[in-house]
Amino acid sequence: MLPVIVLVPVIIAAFLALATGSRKLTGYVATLAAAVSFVLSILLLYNRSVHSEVAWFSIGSYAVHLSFVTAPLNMLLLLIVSGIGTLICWYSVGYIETPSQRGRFFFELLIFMAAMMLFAISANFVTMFIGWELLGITSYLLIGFWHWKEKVPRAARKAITTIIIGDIAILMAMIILWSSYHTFNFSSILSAPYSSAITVSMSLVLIGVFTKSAQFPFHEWLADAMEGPTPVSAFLHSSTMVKAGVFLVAVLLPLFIKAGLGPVLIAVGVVTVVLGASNALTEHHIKRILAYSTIEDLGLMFIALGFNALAAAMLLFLVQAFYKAAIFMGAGSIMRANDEDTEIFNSYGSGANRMLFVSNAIAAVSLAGIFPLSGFFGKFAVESAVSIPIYIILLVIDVASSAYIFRWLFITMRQPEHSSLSKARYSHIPMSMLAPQAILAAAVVAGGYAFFVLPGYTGLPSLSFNVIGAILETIMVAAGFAAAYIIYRKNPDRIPYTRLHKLAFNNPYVNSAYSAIAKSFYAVGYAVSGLNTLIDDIFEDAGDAFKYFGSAGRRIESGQIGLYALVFALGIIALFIIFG
Amino acid sequence: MQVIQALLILAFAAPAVGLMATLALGQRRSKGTGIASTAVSLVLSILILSSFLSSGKAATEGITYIPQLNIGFSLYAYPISVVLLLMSSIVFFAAAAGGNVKGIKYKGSVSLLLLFQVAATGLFLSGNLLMYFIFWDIGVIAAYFMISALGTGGRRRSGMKFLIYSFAASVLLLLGIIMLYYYSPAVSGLHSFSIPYLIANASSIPDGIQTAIFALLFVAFMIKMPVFPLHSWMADAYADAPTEGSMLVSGVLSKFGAYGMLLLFLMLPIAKNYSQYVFALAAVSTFYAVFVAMRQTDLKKVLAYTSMAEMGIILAGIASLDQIGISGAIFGMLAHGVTIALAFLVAGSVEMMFGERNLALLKGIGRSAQVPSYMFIIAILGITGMPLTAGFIADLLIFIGAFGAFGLYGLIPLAAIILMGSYLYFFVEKSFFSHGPSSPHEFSIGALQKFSYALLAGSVFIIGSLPFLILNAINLLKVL
Amino acid sequence: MVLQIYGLLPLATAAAVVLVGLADLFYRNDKAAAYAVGTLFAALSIEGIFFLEFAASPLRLGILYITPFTSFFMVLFGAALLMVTMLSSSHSDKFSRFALLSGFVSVGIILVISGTSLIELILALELISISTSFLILSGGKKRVEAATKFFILGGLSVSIFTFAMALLFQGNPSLSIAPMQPGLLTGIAVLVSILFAVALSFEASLFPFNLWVPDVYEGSSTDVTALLAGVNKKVAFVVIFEVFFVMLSAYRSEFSGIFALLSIITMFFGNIIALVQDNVKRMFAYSAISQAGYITIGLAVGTAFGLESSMFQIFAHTFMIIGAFAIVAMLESKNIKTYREYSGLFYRSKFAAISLSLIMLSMAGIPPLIGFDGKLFLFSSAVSSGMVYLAVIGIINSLISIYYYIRLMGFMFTEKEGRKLNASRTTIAVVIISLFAVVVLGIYPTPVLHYAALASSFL
Repeated sequence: MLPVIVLVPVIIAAFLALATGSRKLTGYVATLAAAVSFVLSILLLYNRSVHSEVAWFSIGSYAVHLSFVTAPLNMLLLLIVSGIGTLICWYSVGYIETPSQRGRFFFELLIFMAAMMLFAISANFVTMFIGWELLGITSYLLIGFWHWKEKVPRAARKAITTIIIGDIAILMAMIILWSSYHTFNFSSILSAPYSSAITVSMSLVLIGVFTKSAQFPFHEWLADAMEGPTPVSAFLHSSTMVKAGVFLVAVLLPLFIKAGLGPVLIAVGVVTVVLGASNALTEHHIKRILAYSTIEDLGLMFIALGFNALAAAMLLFLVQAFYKAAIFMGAGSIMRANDEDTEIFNSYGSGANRMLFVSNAIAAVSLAGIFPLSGFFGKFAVESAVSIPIYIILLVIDVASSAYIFRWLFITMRQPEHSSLSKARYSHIPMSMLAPQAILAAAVVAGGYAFFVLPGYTGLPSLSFNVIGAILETIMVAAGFAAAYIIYRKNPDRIPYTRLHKLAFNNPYVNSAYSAIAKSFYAVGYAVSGLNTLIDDIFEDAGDAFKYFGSAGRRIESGQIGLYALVFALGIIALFIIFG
Repeated sequence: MQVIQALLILAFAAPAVGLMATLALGQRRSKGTGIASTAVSLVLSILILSSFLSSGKAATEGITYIPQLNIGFSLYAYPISVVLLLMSSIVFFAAAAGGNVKGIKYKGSVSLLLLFQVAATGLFLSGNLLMYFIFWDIGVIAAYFMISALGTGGRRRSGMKFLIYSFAASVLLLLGIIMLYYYSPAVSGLHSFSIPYLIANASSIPDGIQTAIFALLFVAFMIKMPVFPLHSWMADAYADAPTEGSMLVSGVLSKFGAYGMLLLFLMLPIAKNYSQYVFALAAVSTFYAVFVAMRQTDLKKVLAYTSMAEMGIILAGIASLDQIGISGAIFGMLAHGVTIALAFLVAGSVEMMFGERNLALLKGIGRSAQVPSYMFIIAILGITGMPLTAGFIADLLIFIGAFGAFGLYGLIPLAAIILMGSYLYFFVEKSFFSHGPSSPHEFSIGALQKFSYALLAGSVFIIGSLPFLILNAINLLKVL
Repeated sequence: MVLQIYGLLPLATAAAVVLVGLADLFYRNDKAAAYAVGTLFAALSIEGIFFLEFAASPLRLGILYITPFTSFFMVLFGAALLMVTMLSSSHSDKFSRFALLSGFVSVGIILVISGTSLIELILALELISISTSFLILSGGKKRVEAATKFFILGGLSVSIFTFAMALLFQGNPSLSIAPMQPGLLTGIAVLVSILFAVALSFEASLFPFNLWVPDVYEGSSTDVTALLAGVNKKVAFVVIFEVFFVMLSAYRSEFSGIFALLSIITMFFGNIIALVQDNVKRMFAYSAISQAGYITIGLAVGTAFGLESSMFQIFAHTFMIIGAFAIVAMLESKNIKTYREYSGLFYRSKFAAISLSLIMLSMAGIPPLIGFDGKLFLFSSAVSSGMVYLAVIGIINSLISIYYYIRLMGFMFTEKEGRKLNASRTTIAVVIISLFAVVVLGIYPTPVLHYAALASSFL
């Protein structure tokens, strides 16, 4: 059985969705298809580490294949995608209310899911790249899903522009690797002898990875991507797509280590973590807070990978998917109850719905890293893998992340003035939006168990637990909680406003840097266009020159017969002089 | 006679018969005739591709009709010609179905389209350079009339400019061909224009003459592709042509030049000495076009310069003189043909619906004209080389070739694709899927035009997802 | 014996035209006369074909020497005169004068193309030239001025021709048109060549001896213009063949440069000045000058292939220019003369616009029309004998020329409604003959090229 079979249900359902359009059934069919894919993925677990390939095309004497593998890492991502994907589809059934939008939404979502699953099981660069690029374009389409709303088109464009940079970088890397090794297969390249091509191409891959996984300096698009529908944020922009970069590095980790790029991963990861956490602290868009938190999570994973701690990175990779998807779903529900207002200070009463509140709280607590929820284990694993200086930084970050997530929780649970109204609104949130979140919350609770089994399953060295580290982390989280409680629970409307706050809120002028770069390109464009006009004119003037000669020459045609005879005579003389 | 020979003759005859039928039948039947004729051509070109895959290189019996100069006519199927024939048939079919010239100009428009197809088919299939030249000029004249008689805006001026540049190219080409003819060795007193013969024998031309011929032909093809700095005709011509004119001029006519450039590099060994300069020129041309494109406001001009940038990339593949790079360039011609035709079809629909092409004035097309807008996205995917679209295979192979030939410098033009994507998506943001109220009316497009969209978009994806269909043919090119 | 009677047929046919003209002077039946004259010219052409096909061996009858060279031009000039007659019959009200004078012209032509001595040539040329002067006088707005210029400058050229003959006689005491021994003209070969070249450049309209051309073309009525451009000019080239490539053929290397220079300056002169014209007829006058320049390329090359190409181009241009002037004449009668007045022609007369476009595209050298074939052969001949520079200059000129042709086409295809224009039947017939040559012989030029080769082999 080829692993690609897992894609089949979703692809069929995607085109069904496009065809059936506005019916409510569309959503259920999509959910069912995703569930079938999930079941098929589970079945694939019995098909461990099978490498299979189909010839795609051949060029000269070389053949290029589409290759698939179901190694543990691949299965991990495949299960996350199909599992969370099923829940997201279910959630979307309730979330997408306008019938005319249903067909398009589920089509794009399911194509995304298929692409992500293809990416998950890919065993060579070409297959991976097909999935990778489809992720980019579906992400673009989904962010821009409500393209008539303000800010949305811009956010979508920002995402795709950033992602294209990475796509081309990876294409370059593929070309370089192929030219050196004449293969696209991960396994062959991993076992090939080291050459300088690896350093060059892995640096390029890194650019691609950083754009996709929103690392400094390419991280801003992810925050803007929050303009998209919430299921998209929960699925693409927190739990799956943005982790494609992390996954790619994980798969090719030995190459990065060989190429000496570990320190780059660590450095970029640390900068991103700091930026993400500080922005999350000051942001007041209900989803952007979570987006910056995602950026921070991804940074943590890269730090772990930089220290060659694959097991730790993958543990965080797994558990982050649960709590992040859950909390985004919660954010979507809160927005639904608050007229789709994205301003967190206009969001009230998330405590009104018990089921929602519990799920939110579990996800937040896990995100902050409180024992024994899965988030704790993820962060703990990463922190125990790093060197001392980085560890100290990460401890400080722990305080911050705990603070911003409880800030998020506390602000949204404030009681509005008309609490009964709020209660009524929260009771109208459909079960299809609440149940998937609750299931995820359950997974968040249970996920900590992965700390003990994941390394074994993936064949990596097991993670060790140490009490001192755990206590230190808990203290930091508690400090963050206390800060959030004092500031936001007691006086929720008081925002500490300092220079530091301003700096963090403006994301150290990264956006200004982006526009400066864009402007400089446009300036070049302006100059080149000027040159273009000039070239145009030069050629036209050259044409006019002939006409000028023509007008001059016409003077000889005066109609005077005497002149004609004179020219006649001069002509004879000239011929004599030339030839005589 | 083998099947493929019969098919070649039929493929050449089909548009000619269609043209006569159009001229003979009335105004009202012309559209149907055009569509039927181009459909037959498409079917024939697919059959030629498939029988080429089974039987390999083939040529029809030649007719020598000017024996004094050994000038003859024969149709010749080999990898480049069958691929380009397929590309042109797709674009012609789509243009016949999707064009939007109205009223009294209908018959003229269909006739010109079919005349153009006669030229394109003859050019791509011709087995000798003189026929190549003759069909080249016929194509130019057909395109000239399309622009200047059926176009919009400053069509007369644009048509004139187009024709003068094209004619400059063709006189240089003529001189180059004549020199190639006389300076290549003669067989029993007779020289030959035959392409296979010249590919095999042009190497015995003395270096000085080879350089002269290379210069003449290179400039001619530069104009036609177009390549910086001889591109001034392009933007106006593409912009002022009617929809089908833009589709054909950008999709098919530019390939006349690219095909010639490829032949030139395969023919003259001296080309190797200049390949790095040509590559540098290709890179400059690509970036130049990209930077000009980002400052345009006319949708068709944006696409025109984008097309020019893509032609620069194809030239880079040709200049690599590497089996894979050249295969990529051929694939790229196919990919570029269908993709850019799709993009220009969108421009045509937009102009028809909103009476406007200025991107600064168009807002939120996406809500009232959904099909063209999504088709535009598909075209962008093709242009930026997304996997599963035809553009990806082309870019991949071209740059494998370029990297092999020029090292890391070879990858520089790839960066232009980032810029291309950036400005194209920027225009999408500003005009297609932009925020704001939607236009009061919902526009719908005709069934024929929808079919045309489906054909082109389908081709972009089918060629991209099943590239072996084409590459199996290209792999038979064993000249290097 | 039978063949010798046949050999007299062309001259007899030409003489018959004179008789018809004389008869018409008395009986004033222009219509019948037109049919008769037309039939006779057609007969002349058919006789030429007959000779080409059946009498490939030369035939000498006193002052007539009939070879395939003669036959080739008989076919051409017969057809050209037929076309001009048809034009004339529909446009001029005084056909009898035309019939008589064209009879003299045709007699002159027969003598020129089958001439055996220089004396015969100069007499025949004078006959043509004087008849033409009278023809110019017969119509057109500035006819007196035009005729005067033609006559006076023509006299100048004849006197130079005579002087050249005298010089030639000094070295070679024979005026018969037969190859001269090399070495007879030591010292004066270049001088003689220049003088002959200048004298013949007048009628062949090579720069700078062609300044009269536009004035005269514009000043005379258009059927006469067609005669001047289609027949008289080509006759001068026939004389060039006979004088230079028969008599002086041993001195090819001495005069090749003269023709190269004349060719280059003529092409540039014609094309560049044509660029700035507003009057269509004048534009065609300059375009005809530049075409003469192209024809001269083959003379400069001087090889068999070069001459053959020149003959091909002479053939091609005759049909193109008469066809063009037929349409110009038709429009002129509706008072459409300048570029601007040609606007929207396509919507007023599809026939005129499409035919004129095809003819102009052919003149510009666009395949597969006959003008392209001519240029292909000419440039090929230049390249094949190593004179690449002539080919280069030729293509530069082709490029310049496309501008003014296309500019006119641009006007013709502008959308503009106007009264429909109807072409007379004779005009249509002339244009169809011309288009037959332009398109059919353009696509399949082999027979023409074949006979041109045959003709040039008898030089």
